[in-house]
Amino acid sequence: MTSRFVRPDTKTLTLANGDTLLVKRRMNHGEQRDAFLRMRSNAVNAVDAMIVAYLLDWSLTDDDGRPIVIRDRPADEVQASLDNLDPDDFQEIKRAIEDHETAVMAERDAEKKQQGGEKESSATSPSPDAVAGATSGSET
Amino acid sequence: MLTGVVGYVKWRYYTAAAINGYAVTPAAGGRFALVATVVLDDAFKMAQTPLTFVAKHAKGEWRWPIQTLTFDRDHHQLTATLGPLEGTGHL
Repeated sequence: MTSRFVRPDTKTLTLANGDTLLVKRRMNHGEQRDAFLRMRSNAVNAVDAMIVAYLLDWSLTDDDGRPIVIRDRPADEVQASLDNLDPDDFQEIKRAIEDHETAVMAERDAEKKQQGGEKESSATSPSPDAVAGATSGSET
Repeated sequence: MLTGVVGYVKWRYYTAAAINGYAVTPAAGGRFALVATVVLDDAFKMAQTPLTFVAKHAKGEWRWPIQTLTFDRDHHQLTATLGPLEGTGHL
């Protein structure tokens, strides 16, 4: 039976210049809720909330070649790093994560359709009436 | 013995527990014994595998796979058997 819980799987996305993003494959209910709460309480827009929610790590460095650490950092710190990106680079990261989310949702839809198809076509045991004969009614 | 303050029990990228105070001691067979005080935990994630104990230090972190774990939630005490130190880290 397929688990209903989200596994903490990850995926590495590669940007045009070879930089990489490590993202969650999927978000669970709690992460979606927390992203929504960040939007409401911190006036963060939906795009930023989505990126921060998915992003686990990256290979980006500053002008001196020092890694900009976001791994295991609080959401506000990750947001601060995103806020200091060149706008075009931010858009590239945004597109990469949006494309990833779209692809994973499509995979999930396909899995669900396949599971639904298997349930419809699985053999069912015959009803008791078919086996033993109907027992309702009385003989006269 | 290695002692420290900040540590985590991780389930992949999730934090299953936050630790404030721990001690790691060598045990037989290349393993280690962990005793720690848990300040925050996610019961669901603590029940998953694989779990890793992560100890932060000034230049990074040490990571051990958790092989067995006992958590006394009432007293915030965690004891565990850890496997060999991961990666190329040294204590």
